[in-house]
Amino acid sequence: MKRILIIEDNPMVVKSLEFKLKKDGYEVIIAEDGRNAMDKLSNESFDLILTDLMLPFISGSQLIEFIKEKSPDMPIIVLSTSTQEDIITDAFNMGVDDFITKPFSPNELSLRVKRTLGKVG
Amino acid sequence: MSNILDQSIKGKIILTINSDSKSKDHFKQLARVKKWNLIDCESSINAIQYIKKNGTPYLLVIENDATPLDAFQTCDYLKQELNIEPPVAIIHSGFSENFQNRNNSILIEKPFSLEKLDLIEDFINKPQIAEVEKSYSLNYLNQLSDGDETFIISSLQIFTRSVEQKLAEITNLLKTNDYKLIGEIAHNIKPSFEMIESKIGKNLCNILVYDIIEDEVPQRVSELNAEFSHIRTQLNRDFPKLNEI
Repeated sequence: MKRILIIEDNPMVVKSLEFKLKKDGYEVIIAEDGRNAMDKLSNESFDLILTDLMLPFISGSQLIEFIKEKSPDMPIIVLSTSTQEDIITDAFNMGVDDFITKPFSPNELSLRVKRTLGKVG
Repeated sequence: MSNILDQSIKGKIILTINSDSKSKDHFKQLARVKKWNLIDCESSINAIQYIKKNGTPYLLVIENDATPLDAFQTCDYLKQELNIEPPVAIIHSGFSENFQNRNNSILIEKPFSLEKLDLIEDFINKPQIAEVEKSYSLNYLNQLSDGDETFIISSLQIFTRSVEQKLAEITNLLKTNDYKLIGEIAHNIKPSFEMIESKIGKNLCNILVYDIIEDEVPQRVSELNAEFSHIRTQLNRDFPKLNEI
């Protein structure tokens, strides 16, 4: 079963992502802030990361940098709001694979996760 | 608010049908605190007879599984046979989707509490709310979960608790004029408002995040608090189960 790490600090968004991804057959692990995410990334392995870019304790760019240093091939999908175009552009420049706007479309989430995992699978 | 409501409900006849003696005694104690004027009926038939003789009560409080007619059969009888449709508080022990389509009624899950009596008062005081456009929608959560009731209730509980906490943080930050952090918190809760399709909540968050005019921040925060309070009142009325845990 593919393991997906969700890094997100809005509990309602987390609940929805977790519900949908589990229903799609993935194992889901949650980190609610940057520190917790870094701990998990240091000690566990994942197949995909879904991450917010505005997190407590650490910026999104710092987090992406950390992931890319540790696991250059790890696919990353950024969770963004529709008005963060500059931040999304920067994230793509740092090597993220895709982005999903919050609140996400359920079908779009399924397709993008499947597509991103398929690229590396 | 409670004084106004007390004045409107005090002294008016509230008919109760509750066969569970423990629950009935508890309800009576709470009703005394609220100064409600209860008429206790042994069965739904006794209640119908009372209504035939004395006219429409101010409120009917009836167990879902009242006998010989249950709550819905009693309401149907009153409507069809006597052309009476009083406000009804239906007391139940477990949530069911079948409950959702009843007009002029509120669902109250046992055990009783003063907060639940407050909900009943709010319901009586604002019976027109059911016909007013709601300030939230479950379309998104329904679509996401294929109508999974447990997920939806849990999500609404998360909404009310997490947004309440974040709004308290924002309100507190007004004291130090920390508009940057206020914007960040507004950014965090914006998706929560979007997920229940609250346009007003979403727009106010957007203003706090992207269009801050410092002098207007306290007013916008106040508006956001008011909108959240409005949504929470509607949610509590529509889903009494939200108050349980």
